[in-house]
Amino acid sequence: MTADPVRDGGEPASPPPMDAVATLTAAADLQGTALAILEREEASIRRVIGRYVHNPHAVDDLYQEVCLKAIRRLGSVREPDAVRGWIYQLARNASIDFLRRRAAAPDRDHEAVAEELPAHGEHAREPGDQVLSRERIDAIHRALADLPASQREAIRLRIEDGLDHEGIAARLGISRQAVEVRLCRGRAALKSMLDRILGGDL
Amino acid sequence: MTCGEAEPLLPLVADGVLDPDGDPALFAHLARCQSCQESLARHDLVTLALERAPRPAPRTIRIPWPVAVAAAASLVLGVGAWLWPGADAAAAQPTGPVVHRLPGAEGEAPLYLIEGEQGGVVVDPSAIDGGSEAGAAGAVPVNLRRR
Repeated sequence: MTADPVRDGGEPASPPPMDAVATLTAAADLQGTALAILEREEASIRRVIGRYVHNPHAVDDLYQEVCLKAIRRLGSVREPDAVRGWIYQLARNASIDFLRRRAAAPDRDHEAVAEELPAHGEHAREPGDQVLSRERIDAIHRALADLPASQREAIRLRIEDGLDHEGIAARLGISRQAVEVRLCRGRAALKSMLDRILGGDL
Repeated sequence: MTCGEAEPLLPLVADGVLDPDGDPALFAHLARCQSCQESLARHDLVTLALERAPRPAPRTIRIPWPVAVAAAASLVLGVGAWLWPGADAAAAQPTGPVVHRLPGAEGEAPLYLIEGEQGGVVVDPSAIDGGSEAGAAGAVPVNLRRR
């Protein structure tokens, strides 16, 4: 004997259209894929978070947050093959947002944020290790000041003023492509400077 | 996608203009490549650092060089006069203890009289060099007759 499909209100339910069935099936497949990845990739997800956050309790919390977001937002993933990259981005964004929240907390200052920032690779993650100490934050600002004016202005408009690429292009009277070139070159130079600092060259 | 292809795109990922929907191949690579993950984390750290205001630069006071030279010379001469055993310390520090060099007996080292407001001490440096107890023996309190 088979049970008739019945709605919550007791009314007989009409069979869902084939498109809806396909959508539900795809969603179920996607959910299964995501859950399987979350289980299988727990260590790698935690490692991604650990590149930004030292505190093991915070890593636990952020891992749970990433799992919840992954399950809730499955519908926004268009391609099942992209689930792993999408979960990576969830973990990265959650970590960055965590650091921003900590920095914005009224009882915490820059040093407190720096304590959460990781060292190179799997090493030097002892408590108290401050990769981005106040001195290093200041050094990055000095490196920004030393960039060519065109790159420096583009980065300041992007980060300090929050303009998007079109807004920067309009402000500077250049193309969007030119904005992206300036931002990429400037960011690459600043990242290289941070590499030298963390590598001990500075 | 290779690391060489991904690396130039990482500044745009850090800038927030590339995402998994727009470039799934790049993020599939990022999800499995620890080297590129580390590189992107560095880009993100730069962003986080730039979002924080730098500390204000320490205030510097610019002094015209003739004034600076005169001040430095005064300091050197003043310290030197106070430390130099034979110097007239009273000129450099008129309100503090005054040190007088006393001629020693023939063939012996000179003595020093340290004169204070309430009295003075005669010091035999050759005795002080021998140690603390000898130093104590080498310092003899004296009563000074004030004018």
